[in-house]
Amino acid sequence: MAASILLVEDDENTRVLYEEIFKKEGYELTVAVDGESAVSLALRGSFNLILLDIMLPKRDGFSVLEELSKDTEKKYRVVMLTNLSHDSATKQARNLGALGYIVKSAVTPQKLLEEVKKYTVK
Amino acid sequence: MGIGAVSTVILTFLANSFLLLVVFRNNPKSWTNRLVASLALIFALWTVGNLLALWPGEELVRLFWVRVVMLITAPMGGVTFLLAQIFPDSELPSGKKYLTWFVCFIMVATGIFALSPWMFVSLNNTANGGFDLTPGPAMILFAINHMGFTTIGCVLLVRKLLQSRGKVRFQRMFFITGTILTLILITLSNFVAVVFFGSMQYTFIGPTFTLFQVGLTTYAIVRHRLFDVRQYVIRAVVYTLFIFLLGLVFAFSFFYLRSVVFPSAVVDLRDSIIFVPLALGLALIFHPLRIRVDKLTDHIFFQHRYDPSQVLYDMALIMASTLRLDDLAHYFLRELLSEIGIERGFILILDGDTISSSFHEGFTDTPPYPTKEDLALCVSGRGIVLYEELPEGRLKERFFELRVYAAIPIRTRKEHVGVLFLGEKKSGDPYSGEDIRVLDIVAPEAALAIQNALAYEKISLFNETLKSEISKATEELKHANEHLLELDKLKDEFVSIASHELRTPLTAIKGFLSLELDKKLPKESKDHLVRAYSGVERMIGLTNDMLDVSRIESGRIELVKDVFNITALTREVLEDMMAKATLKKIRLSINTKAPYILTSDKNKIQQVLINLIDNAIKFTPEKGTVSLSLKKKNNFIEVSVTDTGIGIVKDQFEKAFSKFGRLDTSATKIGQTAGTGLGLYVCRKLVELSGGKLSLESKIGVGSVFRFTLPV
Repeated sequence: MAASILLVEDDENTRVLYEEIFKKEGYELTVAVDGESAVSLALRGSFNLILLDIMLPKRDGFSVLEELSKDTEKKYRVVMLTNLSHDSATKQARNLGALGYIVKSAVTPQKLLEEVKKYTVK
Repeated sequence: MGIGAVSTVILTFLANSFLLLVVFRNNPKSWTNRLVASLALIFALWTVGNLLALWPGEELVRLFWVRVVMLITAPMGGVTFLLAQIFPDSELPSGKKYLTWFVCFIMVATGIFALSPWMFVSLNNTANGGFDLTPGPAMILFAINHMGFTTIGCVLLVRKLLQSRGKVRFQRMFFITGTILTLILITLSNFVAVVFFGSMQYTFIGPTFTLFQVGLTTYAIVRHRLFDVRQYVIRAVVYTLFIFLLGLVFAFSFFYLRSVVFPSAVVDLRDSIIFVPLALGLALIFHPLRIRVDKLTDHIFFQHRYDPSQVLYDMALIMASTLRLDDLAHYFLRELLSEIGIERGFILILDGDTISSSFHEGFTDTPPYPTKEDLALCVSGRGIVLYEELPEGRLKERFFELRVYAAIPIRTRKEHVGVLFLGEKKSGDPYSGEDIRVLDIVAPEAALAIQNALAYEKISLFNETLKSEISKATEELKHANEHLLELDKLKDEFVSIASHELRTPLTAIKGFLSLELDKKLPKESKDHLVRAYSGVERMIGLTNDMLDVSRIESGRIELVKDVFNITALTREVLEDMMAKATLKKIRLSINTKAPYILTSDKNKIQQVLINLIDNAIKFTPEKGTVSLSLKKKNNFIEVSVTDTGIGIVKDQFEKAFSKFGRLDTSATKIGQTAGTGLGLYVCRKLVELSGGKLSLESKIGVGSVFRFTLPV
């Protein structure tokens, strides 16, 4: 069965791009457009991977990450997928328990898929 | 009555007359002078009358002269009393008119009685040439007149003496001394001698002693300044006594020795056997004795004497010892007061005609300083202003209130610096000529020293102002700097957000272009899309570089350290870049297999590697090679990126690493799109931040080697 991914992305163009890429590869994709819906979707559902942006409306990615880390029952596999690339951001993400950190502008679709594959293959 | 008596009387008469003239001419309008002149006249006439009364002759004639003498001397007590009242002022006491009239009345009454038989009833010649007098009842009046007025006068004088100071004090002292001396000597000659010798043969000398009174009083009035007079008088008296004593010793020794050696011998040449050695002996001991006497008198009478050259030397030292006005003024005052022996003093420093600062010594509180007008009077003359030389008036009263005796202008040749006010001397002496000379020398020296101190103060003040200005400016700079740092932070945030916002749409474009490029497309379309893709990539690179530069320059870049295998990392990057190299038919290779492990920021090193390899591919013509190698050197890993590019001229090396340092000769010539010009700058900064060095070696037409080191 294909891995399920929760994609949290507020930019419509980017969202459409990733939907296309991941659906083509056969991933089961759920999309959230802001921090709060991301939290509620993540808590309700169960995803193999959460691709989390940082600069989000309503609640930023770090806050989402923090909220999810409070849940002691479930383990969330989160990889940051963002265009913020400064050191403090990467550091903070890592400290909050993110598995990886992908800078959107730095990767091609191919590269992104390779990365995601790494995190979804068990 | 021999020739000696006559000549003594004549000399006394002449001397008294002379003094009379001197004192009267000195100031005919002054009542003090008039009264002293009257005394001199009385004494002069008394001398003559006395002689005539003592001259052997008829009893009646002698009685007549006795009565004349009584008439002459009748005003003596009254005049002395009046003189004691006013001395040394020139006016009669205005509030005591009745007293003056009363005194005059008593004098006149005594005079009238003196001529009458009520004073002396009769005179009888005695066997030894003298006479006996039978006094009448009016003699009591005479005695009261004389003893009463003189005694009251003396008491008055002593009281006034104690209240007075300065020159007046000395004038009064002279007057009292003269009066008392005269009284004692007359008593000795006219009464004690009569009792002792039973004859009046010495009585004629009596009036001679009046010369002491008139002489000393005249001197006190006439001499303008009494400087040093005490010194001279005492010296003179001591020397006279000394020589007199020596003479006595000589005479007694001579006669004693003579009586022992040549008893009952008549005076002859043999005396010289005693006389000569004695004289020689005395001559030999005279000088050392005199020095002893000098020392002794100095010790007794002149304890307060000082050595002027020593004082001048000490004062010069003091004035050279400090540049602080405060210290200078205090040291100066203290030293001067203690050296000359002055009770108190103060210095006023003038700025124009206002007092800019003041210093006092010996006053318990700050004394009320003279007003501008008083000061102007003090400095108007050339030299020292002494209390007694001041005309009666406000300034003199002021001096009295301030208990100031002398005002010395402190000035240089050009300007007034201040005024030094000095009180009385501790000894009670007036200022001597020597004191004045010392002050005359010290004052201009002090003026210079004070001027220097003032200049120093000004400079210090300027210095202080400068310091505070500097610290103010520094504070402002600090604020400005903080503000700048704040601004820098804001800029950093802005760049951070701006680059993020820019990258978001670029990411989408890049992604979609990438998807399209994967499809089978007509060559032309594919070509267009490739160009669009590279444009987007460049834009992303630009935003990344801008962000990096901003972070590097604000020092907000941090290293996130990891242990990793740099050989593996290099390989990964190499593989990522392979497509690009292949596109240009460039052989991209790595010739190191050994794994090198180090601790550093993996992302940053990756960034550096991408940048360098990308550059190498960009600036290497088609079919060239780009090769990578790693090696360990001491505690560093050295990574080299060697290309067969066009090379860089040596003097352009530094430019290559500078911000926006794009080289004219490079990519444009090959027809490639150039970078932002920030890449190498960022690389070098990142390598340096990681503790390594990025260097360049290049040869035109052969190629370039970019080499960076990283600590293990």
